[in-house]
Amino acid sequence: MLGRGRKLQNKLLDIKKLQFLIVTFFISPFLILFFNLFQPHAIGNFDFEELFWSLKNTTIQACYSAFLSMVTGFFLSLGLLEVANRKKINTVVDFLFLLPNFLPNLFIVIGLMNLIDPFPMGILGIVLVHAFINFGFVGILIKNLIVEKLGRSGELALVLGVTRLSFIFKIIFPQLKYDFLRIYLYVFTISFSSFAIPLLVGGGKGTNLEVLIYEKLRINFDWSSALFIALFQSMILFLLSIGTMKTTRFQSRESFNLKVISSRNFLLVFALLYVLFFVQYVYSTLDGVNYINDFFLYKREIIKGIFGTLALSVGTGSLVSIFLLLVAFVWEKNYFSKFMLGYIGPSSALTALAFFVLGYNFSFLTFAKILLALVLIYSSLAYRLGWDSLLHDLESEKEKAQIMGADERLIFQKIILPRVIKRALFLGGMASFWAAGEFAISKILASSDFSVAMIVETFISQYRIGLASVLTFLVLLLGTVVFFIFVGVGDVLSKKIKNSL
Amino acid sequence: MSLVKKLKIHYDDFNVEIENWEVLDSGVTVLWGPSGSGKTSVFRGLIGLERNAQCEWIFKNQDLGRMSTPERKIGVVFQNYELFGHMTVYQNLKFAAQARKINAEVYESKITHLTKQLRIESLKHKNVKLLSGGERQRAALAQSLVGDPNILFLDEPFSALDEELRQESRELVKAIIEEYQIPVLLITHDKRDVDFLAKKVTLIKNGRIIDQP
Repeated sequence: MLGRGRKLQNKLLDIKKLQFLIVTFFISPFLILFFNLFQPHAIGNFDFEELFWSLKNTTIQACYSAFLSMVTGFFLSLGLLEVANRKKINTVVDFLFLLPNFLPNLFIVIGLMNLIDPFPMGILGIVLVHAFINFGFVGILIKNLIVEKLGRSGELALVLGVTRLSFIFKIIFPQLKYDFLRIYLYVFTISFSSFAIPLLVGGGKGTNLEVLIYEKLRINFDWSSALFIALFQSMILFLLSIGTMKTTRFQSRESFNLKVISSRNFLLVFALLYVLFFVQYVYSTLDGVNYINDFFLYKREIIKGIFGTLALSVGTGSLVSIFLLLVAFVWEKNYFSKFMLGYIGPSSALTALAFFVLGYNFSFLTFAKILLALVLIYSSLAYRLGWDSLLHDLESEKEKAQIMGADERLIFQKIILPRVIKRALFLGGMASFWAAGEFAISKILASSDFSVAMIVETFISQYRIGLASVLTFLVLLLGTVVFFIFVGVGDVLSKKIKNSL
Repeated sequence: MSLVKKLKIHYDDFNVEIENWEVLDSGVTVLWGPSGSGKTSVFRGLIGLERNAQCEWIFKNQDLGRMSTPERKIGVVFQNYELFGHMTVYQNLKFAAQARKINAEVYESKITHLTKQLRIESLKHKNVKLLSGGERQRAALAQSLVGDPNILFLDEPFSALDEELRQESRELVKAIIEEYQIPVLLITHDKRDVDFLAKKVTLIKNGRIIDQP
């Protein structure tokens, strides 16, 4: 009896099979869409003119977004270099400038709408939002590149009396041009597959491929066209991903004097922009409280939305944590680790579309599909946010345990789990925070607004920015509470597991 | 004689405190000490690369400590012979000269002279990434001299070379220093560098000068 149980357990825990299942899960949206496209009715009378118009919009948006992010990011990097040697301040400043990458898109859009009034809807609006989201990330990347690759050159240039402009044009640009190109391509790819932002601020003229898929699906009910556009878009994204696959790990612990190029003024300008952004947001939120009567009109929807948001947030966070632990259990330095690192998740519209065409769409099943779609997208993001490097760091210890004769289960229990549980819950918490602000995938899959973020999107589309600001604050609050619950649970579990060793 | 009246650098776990240290106006002053004694910190502090350094350094009746790094006009050869990796030897030297706003006619002849003297003439148009250790060292030395520095700083200039190249390199450096009549501050932990090059030796330990003849 015991023997049969162990056999079954071994069968279930077969590492190779689990690896295959995880890979299949990640590529499932492509597989689902591929098999659907080969149905006879799939292509039909496809409107290529509309496709190319939308492709043109997408390319223009992505080009300008990446360009503006690069330019602003570069100037920011000169400011960031000013504090690069002060470890604590550097960490705080990096964190602050990375925030727009992690905050819900709704929050960024509303903040910018308050800051720039009237806000230019359409391509310009999309570009501004993309640039605001990415410039901090780009700036930090460029700063790290300069320190890592040109730190010594910077000191030499200072000693030689080289001017700032000369250092930029004769040293930085020639030496980092390929790195810059790679960052440009990366931001281009992100902007190319952007969905939530064009949906919010695109207007009629800003329709990109993602929004076109959404419109085909939700307005025209034309599945076959949506499928064709989605596959066309993923083909382009795949080609783009080849150029951005190489990842850079910054390892330099040395500090350099980069006075030759650093500039406090740039740091101050960008800090001022930030302060203005937040002040305007707070002002608008306080202003929105004046519409308190309107909230009573939507009392039922908002209460339902709060529960919907909590369910989505907690569900996504839990599943992402579990999924990451499963990945840690099966992780090996073979095709699996390469796939996980190289994998760039499908776009939101494509993922949502794939789950939409799969089986039926009604209440609980729809919610489950949204959860799965979010887990798929956020897990791959979380993997790149340190999960991969954590597993790499544990590799030698795992090897040592294997040499000592420990089986996979024991290694996971005693070596891996105690070291990763806290991070798994932290990344799960991040996913729960993102899920709280998610509305784009939910809009495709669900037939009515069930979360606060979806209600906010509806308010924005009606230009009720005051109400939307207040509700965005609620979204942030709910997301933050759930995030800290995950972090707390992670702490407790980590201590318990370590005590039980 | 130049005088470092005060050099104080504060780190979390280490302090450099130097007072009234005399550096020769000609010949080689060696700052000698074991690893971790603070040699490189002093070196960086005097150049002006340490932001939190308090420095008072009287050189030719001027306080270099109050000046910015470029204004101090120090020629530096870093330990790993730092050169601009995307440039040729010639471009590196030209860039250094242009940074000091030396006009083209003057620097062309200086570059020709220096490259000949340092036996890197044939390497002038070679990318610096393709140079050997000894070649890199000579290119870095040429680069440090092309801008007419007030003083030359050498940070462990022979430590990255093979044993057989070191003595040859010391001789070359000695010849150059004698020809240019430029004061040199040499940072080293190698006794042979001291014996061969030093006119004055200062011993440093735990960030403090403990022996100064």
